[in-house]
Amino acid sequence: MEKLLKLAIFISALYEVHANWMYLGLSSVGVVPVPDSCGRIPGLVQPQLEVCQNNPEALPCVSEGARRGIIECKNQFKFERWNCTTNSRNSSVFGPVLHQGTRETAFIYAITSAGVVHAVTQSCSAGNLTDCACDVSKAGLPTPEGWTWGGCSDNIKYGMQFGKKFVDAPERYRRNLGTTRERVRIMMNLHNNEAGRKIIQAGMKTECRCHGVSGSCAIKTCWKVMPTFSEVGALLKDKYEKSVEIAPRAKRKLRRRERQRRRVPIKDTEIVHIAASPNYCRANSKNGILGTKGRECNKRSRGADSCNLLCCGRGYNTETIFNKSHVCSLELFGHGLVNLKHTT
Amino acid sequence: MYYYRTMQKKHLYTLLMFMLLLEECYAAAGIKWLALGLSQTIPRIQDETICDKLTGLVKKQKHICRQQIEVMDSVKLGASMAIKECQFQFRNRRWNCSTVDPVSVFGNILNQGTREVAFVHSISSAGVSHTVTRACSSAKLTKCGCDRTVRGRSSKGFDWAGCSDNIAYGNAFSKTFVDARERGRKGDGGRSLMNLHNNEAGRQVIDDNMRVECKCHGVSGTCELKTCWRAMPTFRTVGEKLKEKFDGATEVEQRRIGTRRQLLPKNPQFKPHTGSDLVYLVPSPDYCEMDPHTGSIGTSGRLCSKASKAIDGCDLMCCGRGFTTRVKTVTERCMCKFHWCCYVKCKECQREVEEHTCL
Repeated sequence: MEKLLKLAIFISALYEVHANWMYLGLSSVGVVPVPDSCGRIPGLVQPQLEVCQNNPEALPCVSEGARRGIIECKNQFKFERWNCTTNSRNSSVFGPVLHQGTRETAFIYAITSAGVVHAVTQSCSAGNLTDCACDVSKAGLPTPEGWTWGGCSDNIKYGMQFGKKFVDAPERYRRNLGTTRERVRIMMNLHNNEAGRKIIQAGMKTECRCHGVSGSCAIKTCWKVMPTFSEVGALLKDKYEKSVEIAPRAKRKLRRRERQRRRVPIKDTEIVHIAASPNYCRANSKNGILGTKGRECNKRSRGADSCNLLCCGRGYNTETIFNKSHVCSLELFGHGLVNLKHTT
Repeated sequence: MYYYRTMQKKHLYTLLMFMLLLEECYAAAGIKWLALGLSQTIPRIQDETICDKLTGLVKKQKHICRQQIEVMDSVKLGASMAIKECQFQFRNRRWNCSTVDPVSVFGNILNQGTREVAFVHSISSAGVSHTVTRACSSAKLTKCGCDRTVRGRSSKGFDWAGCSDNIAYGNAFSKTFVDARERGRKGDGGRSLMNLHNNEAGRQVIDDNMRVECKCHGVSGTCELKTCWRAMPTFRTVGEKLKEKFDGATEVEQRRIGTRRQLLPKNPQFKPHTGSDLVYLVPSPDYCEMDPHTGSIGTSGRLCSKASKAIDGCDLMCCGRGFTTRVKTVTERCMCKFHWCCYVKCKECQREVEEHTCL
C-alpha cells in the first residue's frame, strides 16, 4: 500500500500539460495501479484511462514497452548527430522533436509503438496478464513438413490489438479536428505507430524443438516467436533511413511527396515523415536540439560516428584516458569535441 | 649632460615604440612572403637586385634572398604549391583557402590565431621544405645535394644507394627562411609561438612520413640485388596529413613558466600536443557571412552537394540560407570503342547534372 501511495505521489508530481503516454517509459510504473489512481498518471487520454481502469495490470507492460522503445532508440542512434535525446524532467519525454514531423519524430512513434506490442505480447506468453495467453489457435495441427504446432506461440494478435487501442488513442481522439496540416500530421503518427507494430508481425520467426529419442527430430513441435527487440530496432532504423516523405495534403490516404512515384503505394511497414530534418549540429533549445559539442567521435571511422560527420566540420579535441588497470602500458584516446564555442 | 641623457632616453623610447608598432604590423600581416607564390610578374628570381623588390619579405628574408639567390625559385614554387594544396584540402569547407589579393594573399583571415591560420603556416613551411629538398636532389642547388648520411647496408638486407632526399637541409632552410618573420616578438599573446610551432609541425610531418623507395637490379629485374633510398612523401600526402592535424588541432594558451613562455593546452584534460600537432589560440568564426573584420568572404555563391551530410553538404555549407538548383547539360565522351589499329572512337553523350549553389 505504501508503495502504491509513493507511486501516486510520484506520478502526480510529474503531471504537465504536454505529457505523453511515453512518459510511462521513464517513470517507474512497476506496480499495478489501483483504478482510482489512473487519473493521476500524466498524459493519458480518455481511452487510455479506460484501459488503465479496466485492465490495470497491463499498465506496467505499457511502461516496460515505452522503456524498451526509448532504450532501443538511444541504442540505434548512439552514433548519430541526433542521439535520441530524452529529458527525464520533461514529461513529453522527447521534447519538441516529437512535434516536428521529421524522420526522427517518425522513428520515435514507430519504436515506442513497437515496444508496447513487444512487451505486452511477451507478458501474454509469460502469463502475466489475465486477458491473454499464448496463441494456441494452431496447437496440435500438423504441417506439410511433418511437424506439429505446439508450445507457446507469441500472441502477436493480442499485442497488436492492445497496442492499437492504447498507443493510437491520443491520435484517434483528435483525428478529425484541426487544419489539413494537423490532420496529415495525425495520419502520419498513426501510420508510423502501425509501421512499428507491423514490423514485429512481419519479423515473426518459427522456433522448434525435437522430442525424439535422445533429442532426435522424429517428433518435432514448433511455435511462433517475436524477433528480439534489438532486431526490431535495427529493422526500424533501416526503415528510418529509407523514410518516405509525404505530401502535406491528403484526404483518406497519405500520398508520397515525390510526384513521379505517387502511384507506388506506401507499404504498412514503411516509415513516413512530412518535414525535413534539421542538421542537429548546433544546440537550439527552442527545437530541443542539444548539438554535437562534447560528443565522442571516432577518428578512424568513415560512418556517422566519424569525427568528420559528427563534429560538422568544427574539428575535435583529443582527451587522454588512462585505463586504470593498465596505467603504465596502455593509453586509450577518446576523441571528443569540447570547448569549441564559436565554431560551427 | 643630464638633458642630453633624457633626450637620449626619449629617443630610445620613441624608437622602441616604433619598433613595437612595426612588429604589430608584421603580426597583422600574417605570412606575407607567401605572396611570392602568387607573383606572376616575376617569372624567375635570378638577380640579387630583385630581392628588395619582392613583396612581403622581411629584412632577414631579403638578406637570405641576396645570399642564396638560387634557392629563391624553390621558395617561390613552394609558396605556390602550398597555396594550391591548401585550396585542394579546403575545397569542401566553408573557408576554402581562397586568395583575395596578391599582396596579403588570404586577407584578414590570417590576423587571428585560428586553426585555419595554423594550417596555412604549417603547409607553407612544409611547401618550402619540400621544394628546396627536391631542388637539392635534382642538383639544382650548389649548397646541397642528396643525403649522404644514408648509406651502407640495411638490416633488412638491401643497400642504401641512389639519391636519398636531403630533408634535413630542406627543413633547416625552411626554418631559417620561414621562421625569420616570427623571431623575437613578445607581447603578442602567443601568436609568434603559435606560428613557430605550426611552422615546425609542417616540417615535422614531412620528416615523419619519409618513405623508402627501392629498385631491384637482379637478372630481368629480380630482387637479388636491391638498392633503396629515402624519399619524401608526395606533397598531396603532406597536405592530407596536415589536414588531419587541422581537424584534431589543440586549442592552447600562452603561459609563463619562470622566464619562458610556453603554449599549453587550454583544457588540461586534453591530450598534450606533440611536435607535429597543430595548435591554435582562438576558435574559428563560422565563415558563413561576409565579414571584412575576420576576413571571411562568406559562402554565398559556393557550390554544394545536396546529398552530403558533411560540411560540403548544402545544409551546412549554406548555413541554412538555402540554395538554388540549376540543371546543367554536360557533354562527355561515351561508348568508346577501340578500333584496330590503333585508335579509339567515342560518341558524345549529353548528360544533365544538377548544380546547387548557396544563396
